[in-house]
Amino acid sequence: MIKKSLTGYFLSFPAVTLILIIYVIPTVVVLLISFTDYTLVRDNFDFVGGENYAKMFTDEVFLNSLSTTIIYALIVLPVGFGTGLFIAISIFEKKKFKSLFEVFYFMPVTSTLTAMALVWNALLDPIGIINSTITFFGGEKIAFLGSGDIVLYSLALISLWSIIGFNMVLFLAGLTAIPGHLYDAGKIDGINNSFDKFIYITWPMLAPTSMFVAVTNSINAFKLFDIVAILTQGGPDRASEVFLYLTYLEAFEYFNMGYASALSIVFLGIIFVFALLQARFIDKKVNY
Amino acid sequence: MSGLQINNVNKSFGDTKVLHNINVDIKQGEFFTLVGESGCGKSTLLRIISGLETPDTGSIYINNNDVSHMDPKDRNIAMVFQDYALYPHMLVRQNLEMPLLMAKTSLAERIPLVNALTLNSVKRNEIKKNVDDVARKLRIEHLLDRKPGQLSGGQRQRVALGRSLVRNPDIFLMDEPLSNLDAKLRESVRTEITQLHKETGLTFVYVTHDQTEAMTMSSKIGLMHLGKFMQVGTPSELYKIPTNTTVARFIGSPEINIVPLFDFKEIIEKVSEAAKGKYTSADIEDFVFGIRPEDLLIMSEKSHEKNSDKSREVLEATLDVKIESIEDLGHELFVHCSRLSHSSAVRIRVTKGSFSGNLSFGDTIKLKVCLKDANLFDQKGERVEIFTSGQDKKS
Repeated sequence: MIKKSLTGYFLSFPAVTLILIIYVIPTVVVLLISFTDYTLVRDNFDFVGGENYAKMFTDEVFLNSLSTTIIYALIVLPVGFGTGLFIAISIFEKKKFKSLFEVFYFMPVTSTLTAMALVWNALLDPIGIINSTITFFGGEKIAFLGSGDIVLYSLALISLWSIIGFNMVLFLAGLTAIPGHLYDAGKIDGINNSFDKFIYITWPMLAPTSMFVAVTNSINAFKLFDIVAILTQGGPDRASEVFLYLTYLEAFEYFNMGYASALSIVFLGIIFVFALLQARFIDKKVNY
Repeated sequence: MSGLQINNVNKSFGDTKVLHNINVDIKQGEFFTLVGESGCGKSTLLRIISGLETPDTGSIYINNNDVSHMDPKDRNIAMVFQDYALYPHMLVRQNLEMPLLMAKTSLAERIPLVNALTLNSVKRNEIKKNVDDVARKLRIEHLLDRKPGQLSGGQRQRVALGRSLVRNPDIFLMDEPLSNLDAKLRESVRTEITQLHKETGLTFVYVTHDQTEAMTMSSKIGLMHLGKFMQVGTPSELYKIPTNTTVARFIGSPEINIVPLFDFKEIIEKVSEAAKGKYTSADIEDFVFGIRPEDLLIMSEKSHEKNSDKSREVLEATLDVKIESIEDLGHELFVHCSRLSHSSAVRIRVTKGSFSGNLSFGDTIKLKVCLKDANLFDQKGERVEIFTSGQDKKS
């Protein structure tokens, strides 16, 4: 018996070690650091209790980053969800060109967003092709990345471009899983037009997929970092300084490791709430 | 002419032709079963009747109305699907309400929340009453507030029946409704469907691949094979006077015995004589007899003495077989035998009591058959009318 259990520990040892080193220990260390005033520019540090957390509520920079992130999420979520669903439903019943459309819409997902951000930068540039086109038709130039009012929309546009294809594929998978005989039964019952079909069959049957898309998209929206770092560095005037970018700034630009760790823990908490939502609802919904 | 008429229906999927010029006249109140192995086009035909598929050519008449170009909901039909096709996200009550809701209310009356204002209580009560009536009839009242996922297969099937009943259809279509139920339940639901047919007096079109269902439930059977009707008739017609070997093989369990004419040395001449003129002698060589397992009698002195009917005696023939296995069903035995001359199998059904001898594995026995009870088929498998007169065998 003892030998047997020893084998078990032995076999799970590598995996457990890796999980500890990669996930658990760093998280615990970050949690501990978040209660200190540790910075990279001083040798010693002191425990300051919840001071870092308390500071957040009065820190305008942090509150700004939180609201920026939420506004960004509120733009990306409904548009990304709605468009993905719309495209999925429109190409689902197409026989011809279906796979062509799928490839077309899915292409951005496969590309590296960091590289593509540079392409977008060129497109959205004040003298880029989009502005050239606008001025050609007599319009005013738009400072896509240079105006505090517009920059979040521009970033949302780029994220949407990269995420819609992914949502579409998820919805397509969800649509495929709806048994065709339900639509047959619906036709006999009089569920004929597209609107009724959507309300009575497609939408309720897609509920698990929808939940999954909504939650993963929310998490992704909160994790926005790469295109901000490449295109705007949080500017202009903190207009695009989202949560994760602020955390990065505090840690590696201002060296405030204690505060940055506290931010990370809060971030972890938010993601955890979404993950919990997903686990609760999706598991329930699947069983109807 | 009420009922259901299908005229010259053809249907292809891509290059595959699944229905070849189908014509059938189903009378009001008939229980018509479409039977055949999978891929014979029976389900496609049912879907064409329902309007879920459109035929390439041809027309469908329901109660004298040309419905060929109507939407399914306007044909006033009900359909029960193989896997029930209940809406899993709705309560049983909502499932039952669905056809009525779609037929009786406008869009504005259906929008959730808004309908609290727009859907008047008269309509609401009318729908509720209809659903309650049907639920009572099918004894599913206690299930109304559950979701389909919480029901057993038999209960789901009943709810599916209920959903089709609430709309008061002219024609009831069923696509293999019993195939997802276990054997015991299948029998009881079978009875229930037959009962339902009697009570409502409606025209039923029932699709199945199970010949037992077809034989036990139908007032008429249409046996399909490769997109064509092989034979349309009452169950006993199909059993006793099948028009060809395909029908003969499909109907009846255990399967009919197909025995070449040349194995019955005693009567080759008689058959040749009678068939001459219509068939060449080469054709006659390929003639086969289709003999139902219960028409083969095991010879013993007792049964030999008993027989005194002269007209039968002249058409009697014998067959030597070896017993391979015996299935004892209690009230009867299925004896599987192999023929001494060939390897092909012969199946015999012996009712207990009619045979008192001992049968055991490996025994060689002599079988007797009166060829008046058998059907003769020509080289193409079509029924030959020589001395087996179909009319006097109808029961």
